[in-house]
Amino acid sequence: MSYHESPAPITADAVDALFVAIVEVCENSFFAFVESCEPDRFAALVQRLAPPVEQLIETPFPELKRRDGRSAREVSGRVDRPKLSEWVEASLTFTGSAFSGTMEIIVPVRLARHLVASLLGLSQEVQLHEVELREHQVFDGIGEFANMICGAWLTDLSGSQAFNLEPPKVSRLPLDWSPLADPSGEPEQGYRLCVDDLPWRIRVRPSNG
Amino acid sequence: MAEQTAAVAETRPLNILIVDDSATMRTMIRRVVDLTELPLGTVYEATNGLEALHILETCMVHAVFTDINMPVMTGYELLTEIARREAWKDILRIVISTDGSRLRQEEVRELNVNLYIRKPFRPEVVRDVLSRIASTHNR
Repeated sequence: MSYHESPAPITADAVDALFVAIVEVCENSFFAFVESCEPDRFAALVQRLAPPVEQLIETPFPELKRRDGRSAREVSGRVDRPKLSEWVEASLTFTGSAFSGTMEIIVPVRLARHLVASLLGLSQEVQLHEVELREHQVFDGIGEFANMICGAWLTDLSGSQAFNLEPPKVSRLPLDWSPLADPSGEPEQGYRLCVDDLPWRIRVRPSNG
Repeated sequence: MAEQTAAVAETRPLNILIVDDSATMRTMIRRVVDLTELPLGTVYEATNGLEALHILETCMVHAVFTDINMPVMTGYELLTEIARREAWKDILRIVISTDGSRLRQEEVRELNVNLYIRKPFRPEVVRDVLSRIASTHNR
Protein backbone atom coordinates (compact mmCIF):
# COMPACT_ATOMS: atom_id res chain seq x y z
CA MET A 1 0.00 0.00 0.00
CA SER A 2 1.42 3.32 -0.95
CA TYR A 3 0.46 6.93 -0.49
CA HIS A 4 1.06 9.51 -3.18
CA GLU A 5 0.45 13.23 -3.28
CA SER A 6 -1.69 15.54 -5.38
CA PRO A 7 -2.92 14.53 -8.84
CA ALA A 8 -0.72 15.43 -11.80
CA PRO A 9 -0.21 14.55 -15.47
CA ILE A 10 1.99 11.52 -14.75
CA THR A 11 0.01 8.32 -15.19
CA ALA A 12 -0.88 6.14 -12.24
CA ASP A 13 1.27 3.35 -13.73
CA ALA A 14 4.26 5.69 -13.82
CA VAL A 15 3.71 6.65 -10.18
CA ASP A 16 3.53 2.98 -9.22
CA ALA A 17 6.69 2.34 -11.23
CA LEU A 18 8.43 5.09 -9.27
CA PHE A 19 7.71 3.30 -6.01
CA VAL A 20 9.02 0.02 -7.46
CA ALA A 21 12.23 1.82 -8.50
CA ILE A 22 12.62 3.31 -5.01
CA VAL A 23 12.29 -0.11 -3.37
CA GLU A 24 14.68 -1.69 -5.86
CA VAL A 25 17.38 0.91 -5.23
CA CYS A 26 16.94 1.00 -1.44
CA GLU A 27 17.02 -2.78 -1.05
CA ASN A 28 19.63 -3.74 -3.64
CA SER A 29 22.27 -1.08 -3.23
CA PHE A 30 21.55 0.73 0.03
CA PHE A 31 20.38 -2.28 2.07
CA ALA A 32 17.51 -0.25 3.45
CA PHE A 33 13.88 -1.17 3.99
CA VAL A 34 11.70 1.65 2.68
CA GLU A 35 8.05 2.27 3.55
CA SER A 36 5.55 4.78 2.27
CA CYS A 37 4.16 7.14 4.93
CA GLU A 38 0.68 8.53 5.46
CA PRO A 39 0.84 12.31 6.05
CA ASP A 40 0.14 12.03 9.80
CA ARG A 41 2.90 9.53 10.40
CA PHE A 42 5.27 11.51 8.19
CA ALA A 43 4.59 14.65 10.24
CA ALA A 44 5.18 12.74 13.48
CA LEU A 45 8.50 11.38 12.22
CA VAL A 46 9.57 14.87 11.14
CA GLN A 47 8.77 16.18 14.63
CA ARG A 48 10.86 13.42 16.18
CA LEU A 49 13.97 14.50 14.32
CA ALA A 50 16.29 16.49 16.56
CA PRO A 51 16.19 20.27 16.06
CA PRO A 52 19.13 21.85 14.26
CA VAL A 53 22.26 22.34 16.36
CA GLU A 54 22.07 26.12 15.88
CA GLN A 55 18.69 26.20 17.58
CA LEU A 56 19.94 24.08 20.47
CA ILE A 57 22.85 26.43 21.08
CA GLU A 58 20.95 29.69 20.72
CA THR A 59 17.96 28.92 22.91
CA PRO A 60 19.40 28.59 26.42
CA PHE A 61 22.14 31.23 26.44
CA PRO A 62 21.30 34.96 26.53
CA GLU A 63 23.88 37.13 24.83
CA LEU A 64 26.44 38.52 27.31
CA LYS A 65 26.93 42.30 27.40
CA ARG A 66 30.14 44.24 28.03
CA ARG A 67 30.42 47.06 30.61
CA ASP A 68 29.66 49.62 27.89
CA GLY A 69 26.43 47.83 27.13
CA ARG A 70 27.56 46.49 23.75
CA SER A 71 27.64 42.79 23.02
CA ALA A 72 30.79 40.95 22.00
CA ARG A 73 29.16 40.39 18.61
CA GLU A 74 28.66 44.13 18.09
CA VAL A 75 32.25 44.92 19.08
CA SER A 76 33.81 42.28 16.84
CA GLY A 77 31.53 43.10 13.91
CA ARG A 78 31.00 39.37 13.45
CA VAL A 79 28.33 38.47 10.95
CA ASP A 80 26.42 35.26 11.57
CA ARG A 81 26.65 32.64 8.87
CA PRO A 82 23.43 31.91 7.02
CA LYS A 83 21.71 29.06 8.80
CA LEU A 84 20.93 25.91 6.91
CA SER A 85 18.55 23.16 7.80
CA GLU A 86 19.30 19.54 8.54
CA TRP A 87 17.58 18.60 5.27
CA VAL A 88 19.38 17.92 2.03
CA GLU A 89 17.90 18.08 -1.45
CA ALA A 90 19.20 16.18 -4.50
CA SER A 91 17.58 17.27 -7.74
CA LEU A 92 18.20 16.11 -11.25
CA THR A 93 16.72 16.91 -14.63
CA PHE A 94 15.84 14.13 -17.04
CA THR A 95 14.66 13.88 -20.61
CA GLY A 96 13.05 10.73 -21.88
CA SER A 97 10.63 9.36 -24.41
CA ALA A 98 7.81 8.95 -21.85
CA PHE A 99 8.22 12.42 -20.41
CA SER A 100 10.82 14.90 -19.18
CA GLY A 101 11.10 16.82 -15.96
CA THR A 102 12.86 17.13 -12.63
CA MET A 103 13.16 14.67 -9.76
CA GLU A 104 13.81 15.93 -6.23
CA ILE A 105 14.81 13.79 -3.29
CA ILE A 106 14.71 15.42 0.12
CA VAL A 107 16.28 13.62 3.08
CA PRO A 108 17.43 14.60 6.58
CA VAL A 109 21.23 14.63 6.90
CA ARG A 110 21.00 11.77 9.40
CA LEU A 111 19.32 9.52 6.87
CA ALA A 112 21.67 10.66 4.11
CA ARG A 113 24.66 9.57 6.23
CA HIS A 114 22.93 6.28 7.04
CA LEU A 115 22.26 5.50 3.37
CA VAL A 116 25.73 6.43 2.16
CA ALA A 117 27.37 4.42 4.96
CA SER A 118 25.23 1.43 3.97
CA LEU A 119 26.17 1.73 0.30
CA LEU A 120 29.84 1.79 1.23
CA GLY A 121 29.47 -1.16 3.61
CA LEU A 122 30.61 0.97 6.56
CA SER A 123 27.59 0.37 8.76
CA GLN A 124 28.32 -3.37 8.87
CA GLU A 125 31.71 -2.79 10.42
CA VAL A 126 31.15 -0.07 12.99
CA GLN A 127 28.32 1.60 14.83
CA LEU A 128 26.72 4.20 12.62
CA HIS A 129 27.43 7.09 14.98
CA GLU A 130 31.14 6.31 14.67
CA VAL A 131 31.12 6.59 10.88
CA GLU A 132 33.03 9.63 9.75
CA LEU A 133 31.65 10.91 6.49
CA ARG A 134 32.42 14.38 5.26
CA GLU A 135 29.62 16.51 3.86
CA HIS A 136 30.89 16.27 0.28
CA GLN A 137 30.90 12.46 0.55
CA VAL A 138 27.33 12.47 1.85
CA PHE A 139 26.26 14.84 -0.93
CA ASP A 140 27.96 12.72 -3.60
CA GLY A 141 26.33 9.56 -2.24
CA ILE A 142 22.86 11.09 -2.05
CA GLY A 143 23.32 12.40 -5.59
CA GLU A 144 24.04 8.83 -6.67
CA PHE A 145 20.98 7.64 -4.74
CA ALA A 146 18.81 10.07 -6.73
CA ASN A 147 20.57 9.11 -9.95
CA MET A 148 19.88 5.41 -9.40
CA ILE A 149 16.21 5.91 -8.54
CA CYS A 150 15.62 8.13 -11.55
CA GLY A 151 17.58 5.77 -13.84
CA ALA A 152 15.76 2.66 -12.62
CA TRP A 153 12.41 4.39 -13.01
CA LEU A 154 13.09 5.70 -16.52
CA THR A 155 14.51 2.35 -17.60
CA ASP A 156 11.21 0.77 -16.64
CA LEU A 157 9.13 3.49 -18.31
CA SER A 158 11.21 4.00 -21.42
CA GLY A 159 11.54 0.36 -22.52
CA SER A 160 13.74 0.29 -25.57
CA GLN A 161 14.11 4.07 -25.80
CA ALA A 162 17.13 5.86 -24.38
CA PHE A 163 16.87 8.72 -21.91
CA ASN A 164 19.20 11.36 -20.56
CA LEU A 165 20.00 12.26 -16.96
CA GLU A 166 21.75 15.46 -15.99
CA PRO A 167 24.22 15.23 -13.08
CA PRO A 168 22.38 15.63 -9.75
CA LYS A 169 22.66 18.90 -7.82
CA VAL A 170 22.81 18.46 -4.04
CA SER A 171 22.50 21.17 -1.41
CA ARG A 172 21.22 21.84 2.09
CA LEU A 173 17.83 23.49 2.22
CA PRO A 174 17.31 26.83 3.98
CA LEU A 175 16.54 26.70 7.70
CA ASP A 176 13.02 28.07 7.18
CA TRP A 177 12.16 25.30 4.72
CA SER A 178 9.63 22.81 6.05
CA PRO A 179 9.52 19.16 4.98
CA LEU A 180 5.78 19.27 5.70
CA ALA A 181 5.06 22.05 3.23
CA ASP A 182 3.27 21.18 0.03
CA PRO A 183 4.33 23.56 -2.69
CA SER A 184 1.39 24.58 -4.81
CA GLY A 185 1.23 25.71 -8.40
CA GLU A 186 3.31 23.40 -10.56
CA PRO A 187 2.01 19.88 -11.07
CA GLU A 188 4.03 17.27 -9.25
CA GLN A 189 3.84 13.69 -8.08
CA GLY A 190 5.67 12.13 -5.23
CA TYR A 191 5.82 10.06 -2.12
CA ARG A 192 6.33 10.58 1.56
CA LEU A 193 8.54 7.75 2.74
CA CYS A 194 10.65 6.53 5.63
CA VAL A 195 13.66 4.30 6.20
CA ASP A 196 14.16 3.08 9.76
CA ASP A 197 11.65 5.70 10.96
CA LEU A 198 13.61 8.50 9.30
CA PRO A 199 11.30 10.47 6.98
CA TRP A 200 12.13 11.56 3.43
CA ARG A 201 10.33 12.74 0.32
CA ILE A 202 10.57 12.29 -3.41
CA ARG A 203 8.87 14.56 -5.95
CA VAL A 204 8.68 14.54 -9.72
CA ARG A 205 7.75 17.60 -11.75
CA PRO A 206 7.06 16.84 -15.40
CA SER A 207 8.10 19.62 -17.75
CA ASN A 208 5.97 18.68 -20.73
CA GLY A 209 2.75 17.61 -19.09
CA MET B 1 52.99 -26.25 -0.46
CA ALA B 2 54.88 -26.70 -3.72
CA GLU B 3 51.58 -26.84 -5.59
CA GLN B 4 50.43 -23.63 -3.91
CA THR B 5 53.65 -21.86 -4.85
CA ALA B 6 53.31 -23.00 -8.44
CA ALA B 7 49.72 -21.79 -8.56
CA VAL B 8 50.70 -18.35 -7.27
CA ALA B 9 53.59 -18.16 -9.72
CA GLU B 10 51.25 -18.90 -12.63
CA THR B 11 48.70 -16.30 -11.58
CA ARG B 12 48.94 -13.02 -13.41
CA PRO B 13 47.66 -10.12 -11.32
CA LEU B 14 44.67 -8.36 -12.83
CA ASN B 15 44.89 -4.58 -13.16
CA ILE B 16 41.52 -2.85 -13.05
CA LEU B 17 40.37 0.64 -13.97
CA ILE B 18 37.19 2.04 -12.38
CA VAL B 19 35.68 5.03 -14.23
CA ASP B 20 32.83 6.91 -12.55
CA ASP B 21 32.25 10.58 -11.76
CA SER B 22 30.79 9.63 -8.37
CA ALA B 23 33.50 9.13 -5.75
CA THR B 24 30.99 7.11 -3.72
CA MET B 25 30.46 4.63 -6.56
CA ARG B 26 34.20 4.31 -7.18
CA THR B 27 34.72 3.62 -3.48
CA MET B 28 31.88 1.11 -3.43
CA ILE B 29 33.20 -0.79 -6.46
CA ARG B 30 36.75 -0.69 -5.07
CA ARG B 31 35.54 -2.14 -1.77
CA VAL B 32 33.84 -5.00 -3.59
CA VAL B 33 36.99 -5.56 -5.63
CA ASP B 34 39.12 -5.61 -2.47
CA LEU B 35 36.83 -8.18 -0.86
CA THR B 36 37.07 -10.69 -3.72
CA GLU B 37 40.45 -12.10 -2.60
CA LEU B 38 41.36 -12.48 -6.27
CA PRO B 39 44.94 -12.03 -7.48
CA LEU B 40 44.52 -8.36 -8.25
CA GLY B 41 47.29 -6.00 -9.23
CA THR B 42 46.65 -2.26 -9.25
CA VAL B 43 43.17 -0.75 -9.08
CA TYR B 44 43.15 2.60 -10.88
CA GLU B 45 40.38 5.21 -10.67
CA ALA B 46 39.25 7.91 -13.09
CA THR B 47 36.43 10.44 -12.80
CA ASN B 48 35.66 10.59 -16.55
CA GLY B 49 36.57 9.07 -19.90
CA LEU B 50 39.43 11.46 -20.59
CA GLU B 51 41.18 10.67 -17.32
CA ALA B 52 40.66 6.99 -18.08
CA LEU B 53 42.35 7.37 -21.49
CA HIS B 54 45.42 8.93 -19.85
CA ILE B 55 45.66 5.95 -17.49
CA LEU B 56 45.21 3.44 -20.33
CA GLU B 57 47.98 5.14 -22.30
CA THR B 58 50.47 4.92 -19.45
CA CYS B 59 49.50 1.79 -17.49
CA MET B 60 48.74 -1.85 -18.21
CA VAL B 61 45.03 -2.36 -17.61
CA HIS B 62 43.22 -5.67 -18.11
CA ALA B 63 39.63 -4.70 -17.29
CA VAL B 64 37.67 -1.44 -17.32
CA PHE B 65 34.51 -0.86 -15.28
CA THR B 66 32.91 2.30 -16.63
CA ASP B 67 29.83 4.43 -16.06
CA ILE B 68 28.15 5.97 -19.13
CA ASN B 69 26.89 9.39 -18.03
CA MET B 70 29.96 11.40 -17.05
CA PRO B 71 31.13 14.97 -17.62
CA VAL B 72 34.11 15.86 -19.89
CA MET B 73 34.09 12.50 -21.71
CA THR B 74 31.27 9.97 -21.44
CA GLY B 75 31.66 6.23 -21.05
CA TYR B 76 30.33 5.78 -24.58
CA GLU B 77 33.10 8.01 -25.98
CA LEU B 78 35.68 6.17 -23.89
CA LEU B 79 34.49 2.77 -25.15
CA THR B 80 34.53 4.06 -28.73
CA GLU B 81 38.17 5.10 -28.28
CA ILE B 82 39.12 1.77 -26.70
CA ALA B 83 37.45 -0.11 -29.58
CA ARG B 84 39.40 2.00 -32.09
CA ARG B 85 42.84 1.09 -30.75
CA GLU B 86 44.38 -2.23 -31.70
CA ALA B 87 46.64 -2.21 -28.63
CA TRP B 88 43.60 -2.24 -26.35
CA LYS B 89 41.57 -4.95 -28.07
CA ASP B 90 42.07 -7.44 -25.24
CA ILE B 91 40.89 -5.12 -22.48
CA LEU B 92 37.69 -6.44 -20.91
CA ARG B 93 34.93 -3.82 -20.85
CA ILE B 94 32.18 -3.76 -18.25
CA VAL B 95 29.59 -0.99 -18.18
CA ILE B 96 27.94 -0.07 -14.88
CA SER B 97 25.15 2.41 -15.55
CA THR B 98 21.80 3.67 -14.30
CA ASP B 99 20.63 3.70 -17.91
CA GLY B 100 19.31 0.20 -18.52
CA SER B 101 17.39 0.97 -21.73
CA ARG B 102 17.73 -1.57 -24.52
CA LEU B 103 18.87 1.10 -26.97
CA ARG B 104 21.79 2.12 -24.72
CA GLN B 105 22.76 -1.49 -24.14
CA GLU B 106 22.72 -2.24 -27.87
CA GLU B 107 24.79 0.89 -28.58
CA VAL B 108 27.61 -0.15 -26.28
CA ARG B 109 27.45 -3.86 -27.23
CA GLU B 110 28.54 -2.76 -30.72
CA LEU B 111 31.70 -1.49 -29.02
CA ASN B 112 32.62 -5.00 -27.81
CA VAL B 113 31.40 -4.48 -24.27
CA ASN B 114 31.60 -7.78 -22.42
CA LEU B 115 28.99 -7.08 -19.79
CA TYR B 116 26.39 -4.46 -18.93
CA ILE B 117 25.54 -4.11 -15.22
CA ARG B 118 22.59 -1.92 -14.43
CA LYS B 119 22.52 0.20 -11.27
CA PRO B 120 21.27 -0.56 -8.70
CA PHE B 121 23.21 -3.78 -8.34
CA ARG B 122 24.14 -6.02 -5.47
CA PRO B 123 27.86 -6.20 -4.64
CA GLU B 124 27.82 -9.93 -5.42
CA VAL B 125 27.22 -9.11 -9.10
CA VAL B 126 30.55 -7.26 -9.39
CA ARG B 127 32.28 -9.97 -7.34
CA ASP B 128 30.98 -12.70 -9.69
CA VAL B 129 32.02 -10.74 -12.76
CA LEU B 130 35.52 -10.29 -11.35
CA SER B 131 35.80 -14.00 -10.60
CA ARG B 132 34.87 -14.82 -14.19
CA ILE B 133 37.31 -12.25 -15.55
CA ALA B 134 40.11 -13.55 -13.33
CA SER B 135 39.58 -17.16 -14.44
CA THR B 136 39.57 -16.12 -18.12
CA HIS B 137 42.59 -13.89 -17.58
CA ASN B 138 44.67 -16.72 -16.15
CA ARG B 139 43.57 -19.41 -18.59
